[in-house]
Amino acid sequence: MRRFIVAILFLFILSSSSLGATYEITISNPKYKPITVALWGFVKNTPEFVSKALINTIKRDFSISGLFVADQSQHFSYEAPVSVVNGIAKLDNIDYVVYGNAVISGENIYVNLKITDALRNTTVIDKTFVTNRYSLDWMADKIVDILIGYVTGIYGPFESKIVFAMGNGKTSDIYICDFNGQNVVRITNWHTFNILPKWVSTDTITFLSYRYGKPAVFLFNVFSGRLVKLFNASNLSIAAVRFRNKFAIAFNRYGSTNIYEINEKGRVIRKLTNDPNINVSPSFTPDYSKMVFVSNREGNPQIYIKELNSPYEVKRLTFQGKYNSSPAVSPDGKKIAYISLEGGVSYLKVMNIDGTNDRVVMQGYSLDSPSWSYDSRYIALTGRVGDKNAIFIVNTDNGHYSVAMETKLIYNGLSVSSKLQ
Amino acid sequence: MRKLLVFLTILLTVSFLWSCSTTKYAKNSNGAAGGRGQAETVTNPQAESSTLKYPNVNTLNSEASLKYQQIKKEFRAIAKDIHFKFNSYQIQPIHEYGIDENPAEILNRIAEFMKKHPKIKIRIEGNCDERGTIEYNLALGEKRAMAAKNYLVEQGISPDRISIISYGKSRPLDPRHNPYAWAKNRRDHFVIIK
Repeated sequence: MRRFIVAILFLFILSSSSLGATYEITISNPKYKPITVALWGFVKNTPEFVSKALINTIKRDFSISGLFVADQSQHFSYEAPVSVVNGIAKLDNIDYVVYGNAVISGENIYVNLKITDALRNTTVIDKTFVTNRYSLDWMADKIVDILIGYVTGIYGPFESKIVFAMGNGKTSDIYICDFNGQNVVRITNWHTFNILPKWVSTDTITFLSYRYGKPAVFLFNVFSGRLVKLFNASNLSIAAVRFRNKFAIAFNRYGSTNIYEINEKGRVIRKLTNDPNINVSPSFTPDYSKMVFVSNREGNPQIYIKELNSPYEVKRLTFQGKYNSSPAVSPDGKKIAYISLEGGVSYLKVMNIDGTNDRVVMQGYSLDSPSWSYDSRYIALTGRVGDKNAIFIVNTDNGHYSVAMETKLIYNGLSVSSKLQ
Repeated sequence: MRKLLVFLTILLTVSFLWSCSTTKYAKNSNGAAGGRGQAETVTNPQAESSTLKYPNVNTLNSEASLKYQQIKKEFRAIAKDIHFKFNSYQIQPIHEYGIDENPAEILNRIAEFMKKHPKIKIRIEGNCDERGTIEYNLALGEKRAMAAKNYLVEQGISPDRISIISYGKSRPLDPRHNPYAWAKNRRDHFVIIK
């Protein structure tokens, strides 16, 4: 009996200590309700345009994250004591509070921010950030990223940019916007086809252009505006992606489309696939030891993985359905997102890097170009759901998706950057 | 003195207007176009390099041009788009979703036309429907264009007279989202280029 009581006590202590140590949230239930966060700052002692920019973007990011909704029933300035704010939050059954104010001094805007954990009555962050009127949205993105980092244990995805191509069927151009779809900037205006943009570093994109008739892959520095033709040695070259300090491009040679390693001068270094059919869409693990790609070598497009070191084994990963394409390896190298087509309906699916745990995350029409955010949790992609033809941001943990940017035009590719400064 | 002042004022005005009206193109030969970063040379567009969109004004009304326009018209009449089944690049008869054709017959007519006009060159543009993914569809569109090219080459047309390009799913003929629109969009389009 004594032993039994000791065992029960031991189990109780073990379970209570493990509960106390847990504060990462893994949300896998689609019916999960978002957490209400008190957005109680940036109204008092804050210029109106600053207040508007910060609050609107924070609310937009909350909605896109699929994790939070904002409560704006109170307003507190930065000076308000944490214990008082947390006390009121507790009474309102709210777990987290974001508050503060902003002061303009010359060209600078000083954003005094406090994020508190009302349940624990602690301060998550108490910091003054210096920004300017053009970077207020970015500041708001940072605030949401910090909060997501605290609540889920993984820093948020909003300090990144999406590059995408959009056209009317006759021409297509390259655009860049924030991860939440704000601040759209047009990069090309060439009255021709420019498609399949990809980030290859924090300041450079590649894209495919028909500017000179024959398709060519260009490198474009988005900050300096420097444009370089990287590769046009084929009547079909498809998007370039980063491969070690070089590039991987799928192009047609002698009637078959294979993936090649190309150096920065556009010279072919070696073949990464060797098959007489279609081999496209390379995506690499972060250590470049494995390449995931699409091939129709067995009749239909399916996802394959190839070891890039000896024994160079190629393994098929998808077996369900006749059309699986557009794979994207997550930045942590653990997951693959891809598009599966069945009976006219397309599905965004995610599986482990070895092909296990294959699951549907989202359903729509013409879903395309899934691209992971740097946190390996969110995916941006294009497609149609209901009457919305849009760039969607999907939370792969809970399946929540929202519209970042909507258009009636045709999307021609999309890529999410790594974390930008 | 007064006359001299008036003369000088007129001279200055004329020289100022002259300098404003002159377009300064950097010359290719010296490559010394000053300015920031890379030297950028700008040259007047050459008449002979005009595209079909902006034809050479000197040849617009010439007999050759009229003949060429006539050939183009005839080509357009016979070189109808050929269509494909989903995810296929086989040249085969197709009878679905409002498409009822034998692509081989159209290709045979194109081959005959090209034999009759041995100087013309054509471009085959491969297209796909919206359902697949962009990158795979680019490759598929290229295979479709290549299939038509290979067929024409088998009929005795020189491969040098046929260029191919793929637009994947980026240039739909019918932008609707249904099986009839998709069937129309899975096509090879033929363009006379010279």
